[in-house]
Amino acid sequence: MQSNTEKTPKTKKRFCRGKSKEKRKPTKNAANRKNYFYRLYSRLSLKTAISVIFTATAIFAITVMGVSFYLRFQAAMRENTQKEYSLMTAQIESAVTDKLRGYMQIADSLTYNVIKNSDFETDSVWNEFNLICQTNSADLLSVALFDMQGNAIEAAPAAHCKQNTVILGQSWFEEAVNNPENTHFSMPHIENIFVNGDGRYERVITISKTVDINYAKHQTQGVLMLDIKYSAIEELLSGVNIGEHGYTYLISNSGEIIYHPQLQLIRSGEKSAPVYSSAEYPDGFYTVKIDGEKYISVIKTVGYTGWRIVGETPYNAFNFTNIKSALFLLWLAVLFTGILITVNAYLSQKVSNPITSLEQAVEQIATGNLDVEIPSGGSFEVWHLQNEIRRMVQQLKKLMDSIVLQQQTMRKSELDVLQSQINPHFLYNTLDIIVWFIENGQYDEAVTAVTALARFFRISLSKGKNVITVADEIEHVRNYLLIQEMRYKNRFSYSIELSPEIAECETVKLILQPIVENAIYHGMEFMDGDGKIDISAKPDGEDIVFTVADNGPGMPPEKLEKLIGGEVEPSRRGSGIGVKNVQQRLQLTYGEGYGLKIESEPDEGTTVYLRIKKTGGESTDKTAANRGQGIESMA
Amino acid sequence: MKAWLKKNKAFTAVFCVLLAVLFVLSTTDLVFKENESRIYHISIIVPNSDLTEWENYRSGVKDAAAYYNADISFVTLYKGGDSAEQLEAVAREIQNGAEAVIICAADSEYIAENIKSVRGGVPVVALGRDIDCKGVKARVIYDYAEIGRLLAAEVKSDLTAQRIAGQKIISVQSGENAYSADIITQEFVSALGENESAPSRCTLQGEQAANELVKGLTGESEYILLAADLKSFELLAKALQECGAPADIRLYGTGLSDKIKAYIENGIVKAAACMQEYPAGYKSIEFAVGLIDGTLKEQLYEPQVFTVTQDNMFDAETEKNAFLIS
Repeated sequence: MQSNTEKTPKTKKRFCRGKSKEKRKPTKNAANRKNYFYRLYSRLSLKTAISVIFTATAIFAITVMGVSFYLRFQAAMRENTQKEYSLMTAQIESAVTDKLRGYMQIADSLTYNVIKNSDFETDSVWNEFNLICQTNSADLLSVALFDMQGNAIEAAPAAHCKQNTVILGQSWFEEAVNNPENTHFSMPHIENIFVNGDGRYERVITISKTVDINYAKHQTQGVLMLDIKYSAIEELLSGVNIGEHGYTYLISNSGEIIYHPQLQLIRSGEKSAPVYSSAEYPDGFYTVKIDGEKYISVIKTVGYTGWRIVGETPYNAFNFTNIKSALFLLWLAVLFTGILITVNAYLSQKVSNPITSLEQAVEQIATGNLDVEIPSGGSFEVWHLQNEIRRMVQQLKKLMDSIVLQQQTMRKSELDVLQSQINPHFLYNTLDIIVWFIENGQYDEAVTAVTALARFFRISLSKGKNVITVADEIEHVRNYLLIQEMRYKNRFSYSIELSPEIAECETVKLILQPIVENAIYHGMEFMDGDGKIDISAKPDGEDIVFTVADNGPGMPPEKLEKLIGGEVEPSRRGSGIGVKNVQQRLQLTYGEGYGLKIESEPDEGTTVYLRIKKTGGESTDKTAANRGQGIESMA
Repeated sequence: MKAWLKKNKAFTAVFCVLLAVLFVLSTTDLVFKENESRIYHISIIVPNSDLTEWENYRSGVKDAAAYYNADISFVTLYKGGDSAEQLEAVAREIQNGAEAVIICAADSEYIAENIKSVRGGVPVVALGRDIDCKGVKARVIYDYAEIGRLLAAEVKSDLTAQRIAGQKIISVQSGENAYSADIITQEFVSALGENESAPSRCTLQGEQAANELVKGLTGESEYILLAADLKSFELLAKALQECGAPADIRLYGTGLSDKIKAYIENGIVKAAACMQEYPAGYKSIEFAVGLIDGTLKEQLYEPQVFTVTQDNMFDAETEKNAFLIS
């Protein structure tokens, strides 16, 4: 029972299982031992493990979702932007096509309504040409008709060609001559045929086509030329921006640039432009690198001419790379991660706390503390486990109580058996003395002896109690000595000393009398009036020490060993309770460390010490004074 | 939950601060300014009294200004070539809010010595000629010597060495950009080599002076006139045309305008050499913007020099440089 009441200090354990780690037997699985993560995991507390695993899983899920969302968003954005750019390019293409078709209609109109109906022998078409120029002055710079040798037949609004101007060999003229079925559009160039008054050099795109020229007597062929102002095409494209830094430009079928917002920079070599030939780059979207920067290009072919609209925009415009957007995404990620960590920590605590408390309670139970309170709460499984452990502890308690009871019963039985060993010889001898006193008329001595005997037996029996007060034990031995003194006719004297403060303390009964009996039978019997027995009972710290000292012949060590070992039989004349009996009872009652100690020197005497635990006996000094008499000496 | 948060005070505090900072960064303009259409205020200060010479350069400036969203202020001087006035103009422009100054120094040494006191940390781009000053980080430098050499090469291709030796060389300039005129003349004469006579130098102060000069030369000898700047080039070409383009006077010069192109086409001007001024203008603005933003450290650009003659005027290669698309 003693161990049950001792409480082990609670040890706080958080993330490491501390003691339990030591308790855990090293696994035999060598592979597991080597596995760092396994070892790490095995060292984590339940709360940490749940929190870490949940958080890691959640962060992984958030990352996967975030990346997927980001990629999908990016793809959708790119798709939408491409659609938008495609639409814009188509609109520009439509505007350019309309413009070019308009020029072709002018050329056709001049061909079929003016030139075909005129007799150049007599008629002049200058007025018609000039009218067309005036009507379309925003777009049209000049109109001219050349014969196949490159001589000007008619030109408006400028009437004269520059000196030394050679028409033959000019690309627009050659194309018209070589392909008479088609209308040709030249690349932009500086108009250098006609004399103009303002001295300016105009950039033009020349439309040329072969026409039939009627003279009165014959028909021949010539080339109709329309100089379209470059600005007319430029204005269609110059203001069109694709995205924040994107632009649109116009290229020929072979990839030569017709219009580009930074054409002059490209021409001076300070900026480069990819060559989108129609063979390599059919209509569609492309990713290209220009001056080290990535661009997205959309290409759309203009009808009839084979010219192509190109829209270029930096690749970054398609990306969700704005720093603020990235920070916002990061903010969202941190927010969700933080919330998850908090919730996970809370949940793990909620789940693990009852288990941790239960583990601590079980640890207390393992140290023997069955009075520990088993916590309640948690999930059903934990609750069920708590109940089962609680029931187990109750059963354990019952079991232990029953064991203690059994032990107590067994001890009592043993004591009873030992006490029952009291030899009846002592009674016979004492009764003989009393009879002898009565026969000799020594009635007073007989009364004293009867009284002492009666007290002796009263205390011996003590209503069946095994434990009596120290005062009673001393009283018991005093009565015994009184009877023996009468019997041995003053061969010895004795003294008894009892410390008053222990008088009411408890002791196992009949522990002094067998020792005193030994002292008389083995020491005093042979003394001739000078024998002395000193008995004392004194406190010694938490213990009480009884001392029985005689000045008898003592005993050699070998006999002393036999006596302690119980090999010496108690005297048949005495009470029948031997030293061994006393030792067994004391140790049964008080445990190891208590009991007898005998010191003996041959011819010097023997001293026996009996050490018991100081229990009970919160006696007052008065009681002690009444019960104990201090030092009593009798001759 | 509250208990857990209380228990992990440090974590909670750091987390809240991080969230707040990220939120502020991502939703406000306190740190990262977004969609702000920044306008760069840039001043270009030239040593001339008018902008005739700078037409092609301005085309490049205009396109660059449109691309970089720059507000350009072109400053000419009341008295062409006056360095003190130019320095005052720099100070005035900076005071008026110019964030960068592009300066074609009339006297680079004077400007280098004095600009520190007026620029007040505003970045400076040297144009035309270098300014040896710590504050000048970017340079658009014209190779005037190459102009002289190319014009000399044209003379050599037109005339035999013997004829060149008999020619008298007169270098004419308006006086507004004496530095470049001197270099061009020096290199021109040096490259011709065999001509032993030192060139006469003449500063024109208007049409009348040009006419008088040309009339004074007629019939006496064969001359090579070297116009060392556009202003004098146009004046001489006009004077020659009015005099009936005498065959014994051959005009070469630097600079290219529509008028000069017409004179070349008519044969009055034999050859013109000039810089690729369009990219020079474009680069000047690009550098200035880079310096304002702090993204540019040291940068140098040297535009190429090309010649225009009657023969190559409409060639594809010459046309690219001579006839701007802008």
